[in-house]
Amino acid sequence: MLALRSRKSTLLRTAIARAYVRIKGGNREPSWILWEVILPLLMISSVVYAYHSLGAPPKYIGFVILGGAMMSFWFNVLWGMGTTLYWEKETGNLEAFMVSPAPIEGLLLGMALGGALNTLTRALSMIVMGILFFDAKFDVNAIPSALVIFLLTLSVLYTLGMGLASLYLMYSRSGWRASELLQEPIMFLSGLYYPLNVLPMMLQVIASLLPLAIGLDGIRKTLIIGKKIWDLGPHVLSLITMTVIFTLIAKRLLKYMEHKAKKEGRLILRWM
Amino acid sequence: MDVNKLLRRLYAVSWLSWQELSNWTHPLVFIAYIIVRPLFGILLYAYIYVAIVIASGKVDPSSAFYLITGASFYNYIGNGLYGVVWVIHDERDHYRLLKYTYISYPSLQGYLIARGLVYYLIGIALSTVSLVVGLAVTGLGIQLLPNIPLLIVNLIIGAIWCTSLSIVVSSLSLFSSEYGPLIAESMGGLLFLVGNVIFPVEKLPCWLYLIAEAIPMKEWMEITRYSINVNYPISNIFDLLFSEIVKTMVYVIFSYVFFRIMDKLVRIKGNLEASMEH
Repeated sequence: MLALRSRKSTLLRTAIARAYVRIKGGNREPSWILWEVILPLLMISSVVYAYHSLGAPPKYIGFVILGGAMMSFWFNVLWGMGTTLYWEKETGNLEAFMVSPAPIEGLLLGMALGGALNTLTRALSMIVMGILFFDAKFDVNAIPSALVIFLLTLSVLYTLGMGLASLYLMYSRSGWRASELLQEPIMFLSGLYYPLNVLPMMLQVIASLLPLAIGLDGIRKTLIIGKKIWDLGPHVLSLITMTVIFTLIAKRLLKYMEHKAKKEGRLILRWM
Repeated sequence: MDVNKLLRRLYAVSWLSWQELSNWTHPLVFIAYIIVRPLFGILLYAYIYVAIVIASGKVDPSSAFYLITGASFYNYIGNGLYGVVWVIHDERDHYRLLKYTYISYPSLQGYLIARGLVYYLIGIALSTVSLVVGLAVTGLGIQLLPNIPLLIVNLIIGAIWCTSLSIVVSSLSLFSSEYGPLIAESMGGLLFLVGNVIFPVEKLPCWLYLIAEAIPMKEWMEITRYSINVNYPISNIFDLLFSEIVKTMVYVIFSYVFFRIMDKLVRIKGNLEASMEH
């Protein structure tokens, strides 16, 4: 019992310590924050102007802004979570982590908390800029419902990120490439710039298996269409189920990949 | 100038670029890898058009052509830009090779140009695949009347100005390990915004339109569209071509001079090997 409590306490302390580093590191240079907001805005602005020139209905501007904001979480999951262990290996920190009593799960949890908080400030800035510059309109009364869907989406995405981290620990540069590959297909299938119902039925079925697609669709339905949380039962149920499944998978995968990487001597193998 | 020596260097550096890009996997996996991103990228933009058609109930082939050609051929410029600009970050922070490259290769500027060549070639392939897929998805049943010699000339000019622009960006990136990748990414995003890619730049606010005027991308994209289909309406092809060539020449001269100055400055300041950990 004592050992379990001590293990949980180490895990929490590790998570808090790692989250602190991430939050402090991510915000120590204010100009970075500015870049991180402006950079995705360049692409988003292009699509907003394209919609303007094509004569799209005004709600599409809101779709694009929310899509861009949610996509920044996906990028954070891929590059801030998935490739984390790979980067730690490349910079020579991973061996220090491995010999310390800090559990890897704690490190990843800290990464998730810190990364999500950092990304939240960027995503919110993006939404504010979308409202100010492009006159994007959202239903303020739907914020509580949107918040529930948003938090559920984050929990699925970051548990998925933990699973990816274990894969990239093992496969290094191939894992890095996999992260690149998981950008555009997910952007397309999640309906980054358009509602999911414009996709053919087959693709909508595939999209319904992606947490980002479900989350983004739910948030759009609340903030733009004005639906309440009780209208989004299937979204909530799917996101909760996915969180449980991905947590179990990530935990097992992490143990397995760590063991395999140690066995094959890949933990300190760099530039491969 | 020893042309043979120059070509040998060009070949060696291009080979290095190719290996760095592709030797982590099997060739077939690599081909799938490089195609997947632009393929889904073009689908993303094609479905913007589909969404509008569904919302408005109207089909507009000229808008679809504009959107698809822009998004497809952006691959060429985006890829070339990435190929040159990312080298500094990769070699300094990731592989820790920049100092060795600097002392072994006769000119860092020449090295950067050579590193980008493979990316342009890949860019052509990706643009072609994207164009075919994009036109199919949007259901564009128009007969394309390409002007291949003009397309080739325009691609060459595009590679020249884009490489020059990339050299300028790289020289800035030499100063900062922290901001280098951000500058590189931003330039790609900026070209997408002000380059007539998925909407006409005339829609931009005045201050952004001025930036669009300063970069040859606007003309390059219009000439590319015209060279793919000569029925594409443009004001005057010769005026556009002239404007693009003049801007390209300015970029070539400016990038050469700017890089030399920055190169000198960066050595004086000792920032050449200052990586993220510093």
